[in-house]
Amino acid sequence: MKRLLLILPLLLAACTPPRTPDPQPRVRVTATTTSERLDLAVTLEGADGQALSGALAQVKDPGGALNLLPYASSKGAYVATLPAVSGTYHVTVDSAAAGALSADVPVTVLTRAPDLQDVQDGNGQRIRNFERVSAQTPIRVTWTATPGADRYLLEVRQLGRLVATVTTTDTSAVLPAGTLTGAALPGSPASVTVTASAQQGDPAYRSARYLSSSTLSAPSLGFQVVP
Amino acid sequence: MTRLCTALLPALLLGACAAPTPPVTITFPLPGARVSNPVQVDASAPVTWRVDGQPAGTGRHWSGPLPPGPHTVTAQGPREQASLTLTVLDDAPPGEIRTLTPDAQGAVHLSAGTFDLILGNPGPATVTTLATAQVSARPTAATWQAQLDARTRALLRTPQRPAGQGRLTAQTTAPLERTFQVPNLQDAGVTPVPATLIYAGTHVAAYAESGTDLQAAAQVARTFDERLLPREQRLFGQVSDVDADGRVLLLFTPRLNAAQVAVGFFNPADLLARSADNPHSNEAELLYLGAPDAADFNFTPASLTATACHEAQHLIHFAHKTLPRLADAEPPIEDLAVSEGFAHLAEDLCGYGTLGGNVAFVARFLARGPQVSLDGTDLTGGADTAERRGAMYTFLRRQYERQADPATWLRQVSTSSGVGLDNVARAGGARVDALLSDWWWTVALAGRDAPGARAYQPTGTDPDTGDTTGLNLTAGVVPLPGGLSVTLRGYPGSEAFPGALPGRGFAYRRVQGPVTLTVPRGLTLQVLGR
Repeated sequence: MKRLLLILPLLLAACTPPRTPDPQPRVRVTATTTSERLDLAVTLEGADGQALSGALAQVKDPGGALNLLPYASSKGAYVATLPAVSGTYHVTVDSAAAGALSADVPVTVLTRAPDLQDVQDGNGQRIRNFERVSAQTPIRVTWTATPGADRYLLEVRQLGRLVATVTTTDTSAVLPAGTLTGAALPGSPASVTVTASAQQGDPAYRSARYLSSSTLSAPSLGFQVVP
Repeated sequence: MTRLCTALLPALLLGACAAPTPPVTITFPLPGARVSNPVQVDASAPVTWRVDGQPAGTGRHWSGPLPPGPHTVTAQGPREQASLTLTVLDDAPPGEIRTLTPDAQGAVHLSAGTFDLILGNPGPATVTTLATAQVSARPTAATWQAQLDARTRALLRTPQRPAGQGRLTAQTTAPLERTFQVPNLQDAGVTPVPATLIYAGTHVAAYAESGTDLQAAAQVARTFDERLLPREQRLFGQVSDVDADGRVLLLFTPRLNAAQVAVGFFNPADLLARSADNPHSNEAELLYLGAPDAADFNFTPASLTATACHEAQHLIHFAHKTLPRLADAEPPIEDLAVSEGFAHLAEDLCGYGTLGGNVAFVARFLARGPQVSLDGTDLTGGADTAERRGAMYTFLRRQYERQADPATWLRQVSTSSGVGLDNVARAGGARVDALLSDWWWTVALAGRDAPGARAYQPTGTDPDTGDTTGLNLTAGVVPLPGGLSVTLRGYPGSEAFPGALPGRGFAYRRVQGPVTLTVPRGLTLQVLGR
């Protein structure tokens, strides 16, 4: 019993909630780049947690061009679509309620789409040699690397349905046997698409006040699947 | 096991309760696979790779070239290993065509030997591989047919309906005089042209503007009516009959001879009802032809007869693909390149491959070889060029010869809602890149000891016209009417690959190995071992 009393204060101390800092206004920036366009959304959150809509929001692109960001009430954010340029975008918001806040947002524009190289089955049949792949074997899809990309999304479709998705940092993926359905000659049509992506920042907006992501897709590659 | 772990909850023991590591497996390929270089192998977890007992690196994947023959690949995990035996195929076995897969640096390596190579552009746009390449970004002036095509597309952006809707009685008697609204060939205007009936047959009625050699024109109409249009309809399908007269109309006019921009044409707007957008429709199946002139190769009776077949194919294609779908939000209109290719194929199938001038288009294509696009813009900025028409005709002739049932294939292409090369391939149950590869090699190997299947069928003689049917790309000097001739000596070989390739274009060369080649991004390199 005596031993228990000695431990209890320690446990109580451990259960004390951490002290939270006083609420401060803060800015969050989402930068989404697809192809040659950059979609910017800047959310200004007041100390009470409500979005502030009356601020002057601006962004300076890596070339120094200044753009105003109008407030879009439907999104609760200051938004703009701009030409995408690799580099740092400097965002500033100035309001009577929150004062001046800023965030530097790095943007990486992916310029070279991944190039789908081949689809090969476990027996060695390759669509690049205009052969049909077998549904009963694993199927390997390969593509070229996209400079700046940190992951790839492989999407596999057959008969209008999305039958598999794979996210990987590699430039290939192996689909398990049976992922696709084969049919008698000339086979069942299927296609693969790869989207390269790069992401910077923090999706939770804690370690960074921004989330910057870029994507670029390759043209799909079609092929025939036999049993 | 679960109960034991609960009882032994202390953290130090949790590690011992984790699921056992699954054994390493080779997930790709299957044992006994017959694979091409570069060989690609995958494991279920990072491993140490050995190939034929030799260290080959670490990781989940291994890829690299291996000599032809059997090999044993071993994946060594932390506690166990997996292995498989596979057979690596020769990269370029004699007599077989393979697509070479470049390594990470874009290079391919060929061992000792003689190889035929094709560098092809499977995409629709020009790929430039050298900064010094001469590529014109400025399109050349649109041809008359391209202008008509653009006008048709513009017209169909607004709702249209077929001509003759609501007509209750058939008009089987052709009027003796009729005024046609003829599009000007120099501008976008229209000229009313009075014409006289010179022939009325079973399927065709022909009119002529003054200044036309009536006897020669009537003979063209009779030949087209009695032999060619029935043959063409058996192949491509029936013509429409928006005016319920049961006939296709031919209008012979010297205006085309004077303009020298077209031997004939079909205006799709004539099949559509007159409206504010389309005030000058003739509301009839109407083909415009120049006046017969034996002294001008383009306007000889044979050339005009072939042109009637050509324009009738445009009519049939539009009547089957577009006319029934006018109510669609975007009615399909055949791509100009494919449309013209089929029209030239129709000339061939009507028995006018040489007399009609197809051979001259093919000669132009062969002369410019790698500069010519199949269905896009060539390296000089030209689109609907004689060279491109020659290329597309050779492509479609090859597809026609490969079909088990050519007439069914032709009708599938024209009646389906799809357009372009994709639709051509789909109608035959094939992929565009496979058809392109087959066509590239069939053209390139003409006269170069091609493997059996990579050749056009032997040419023949049309029983009606006596003209050559089919294609011989190395026929040499081919005489044409009027004392003219063209020369067919096959597809040109290159000493080096060009710095740019237009859409669907290709270059051919022969090399001696061993050699390392770079495959430019966006292009495909295919090899035939000799």
